[in-house]
Amino acid sequence: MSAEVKLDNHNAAPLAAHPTEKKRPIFEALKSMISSKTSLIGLILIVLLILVALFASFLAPHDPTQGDLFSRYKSPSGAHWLGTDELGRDILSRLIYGSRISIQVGLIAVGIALVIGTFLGAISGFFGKWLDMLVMRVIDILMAFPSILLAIAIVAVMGKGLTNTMIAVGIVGIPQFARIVRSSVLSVKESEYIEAARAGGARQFRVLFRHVLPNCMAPIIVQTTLSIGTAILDAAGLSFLGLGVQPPKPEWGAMLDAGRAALQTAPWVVIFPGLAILITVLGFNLLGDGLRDAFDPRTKK
Amino acid sequence: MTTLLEVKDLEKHFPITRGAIIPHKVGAVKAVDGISFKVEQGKTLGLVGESGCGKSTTGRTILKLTEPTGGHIYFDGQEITHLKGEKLRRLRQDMQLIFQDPFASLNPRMTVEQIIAEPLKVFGMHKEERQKRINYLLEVVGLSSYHKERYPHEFSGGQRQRVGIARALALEPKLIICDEPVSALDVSIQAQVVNLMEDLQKAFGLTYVFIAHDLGVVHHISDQVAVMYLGEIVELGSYDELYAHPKHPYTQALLSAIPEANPHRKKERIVLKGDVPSPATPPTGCKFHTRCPFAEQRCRLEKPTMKVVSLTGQEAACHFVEEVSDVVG
Repeated sequence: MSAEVKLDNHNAAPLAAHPTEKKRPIFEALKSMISSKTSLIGLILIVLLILVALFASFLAPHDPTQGDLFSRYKSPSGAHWLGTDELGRDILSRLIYGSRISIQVGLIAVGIALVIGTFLGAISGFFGKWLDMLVMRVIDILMAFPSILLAIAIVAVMGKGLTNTMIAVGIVGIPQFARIVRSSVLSVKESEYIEAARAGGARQFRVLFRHVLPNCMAPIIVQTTLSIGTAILDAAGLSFLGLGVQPPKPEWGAMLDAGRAALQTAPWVVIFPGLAILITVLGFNLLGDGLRDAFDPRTKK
Repeated sequence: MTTLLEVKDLEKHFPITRGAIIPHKVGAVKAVDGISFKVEQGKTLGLVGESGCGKSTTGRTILKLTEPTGGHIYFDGQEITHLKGEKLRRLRQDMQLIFQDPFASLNPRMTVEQIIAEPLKVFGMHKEERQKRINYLLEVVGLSSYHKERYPHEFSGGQRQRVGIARALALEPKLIICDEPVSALDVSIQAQVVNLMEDLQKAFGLTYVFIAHDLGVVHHISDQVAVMYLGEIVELGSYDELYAHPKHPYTQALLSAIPEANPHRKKERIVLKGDVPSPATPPTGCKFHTRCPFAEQRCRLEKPTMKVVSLTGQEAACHFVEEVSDVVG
């Protein structure tokens, strides 16, 4: 390349005496999140849930699928802390194993929505024009359906089961990601550092994936967290309707459905799975809200 | 002396569209409306004018960051007006941009090293070579290699601007468009950065188009100055000549606005009345007539063209060049 030219640095920039501590926005966000009570509660709930799911085989006192017809509908007691269901299965054990399915559904469904939604939103916001028009109209059509109805329709077409539930819930989540990503791409792509990247000769896709998208991460992370809660709820809804996870798998929504018949005589069969769903969704929502506040510079002190 | 950059009748009109379903054009903002100039290799052209007069758009159009709507751009003997795709990308190596706002022009998610490495990577430089080049560039702009790991928000405005300059130098461009590189900085830092840019010009033989809104800064660095008003160049000449004998009333007004260091020296101040008219509906005739203290009927009707007004090639676009310069000069 060029001959190295030596300059006398009489105008060297004044340097900071102490190299400042490395502050990455993501760590800052985490720190401010922990300092807020509600998001801390959310974080604790989610961590607990993950631990329960990981160590389900150690924590569960009974086999979640092994019934005992002589102990049907037993109220909570020392032997069965949360009682038993219509087949005499231990509800606590089923809840513990059910957390695995819920997390699995939550992560995979949201993963599908995240990848497809982000991609669609990114290209439509970045390239604009007819592509934007096309993608966003399809997204509008998806959004016109109530989410659970759309999920039911998809499962009805593809068939019941865990995999199809995850796909259906994932597809339902695409529009939100696409819209959020599109709007942040629209604002980020006008920044000067994007122009700088173009001036530096970067190709379109490099500009989009190396420069634009990383600066849209905050809303995407928040939406992901909030969506996991919704996805778990949607999946439980599908299972409740008998379209999702099939018995004897211990899924919380399916457990609700099974206990419905004995709601008056054995309310614990319904109450505890309901509480489990509530706490999980609450946990993800609190965490998501906390993340949103943490990423929003206006809420910083 | 060879001409590195030539701009001929360059136009950039932004359409104003109405209608969400069937968008149709209802007008145009004439951000740049037929400007021409030449820049010699290794020289600096200062481009001055008020906010919104089209200086930055001119810069961006030359770099082809926005597509010109008319006119021609010649760079290094080659017409680049409608260059696209891979050829345009190759051209980027020779033309770079330094931005006005050092806070907005650096990607906040990248370290200084990544920022400077980006154009090198894009054009396929190897890792070790890249490292050497980055260290060298940092040194050249007066930063140290330990700054590499840091993020832009850890720097002051002046330091950030140095990072921006290092990025612009990375590909060894021939031409750098400087879009108000110092107007966002403190006055004390301004001088440092302008000096740095002058040193770099000497060392690397760079050609600058230096955009600024104040003639004081331009004085330091420019060989030639073009004064813009509402998307047009109204006066063009060497700085000294322009300063000594401004021919266009707008240039005179701008010059009279430069603060005087000596409080005892009385200076006639020409204060322009009113605002810059909207570039979507520019005035007829001479665009400056709405604010010109010398305007007459002819100015409202007839558009003045650029005329050579001195032996050294100073040009101005005013019907009353002689009369006006008599009044002030």
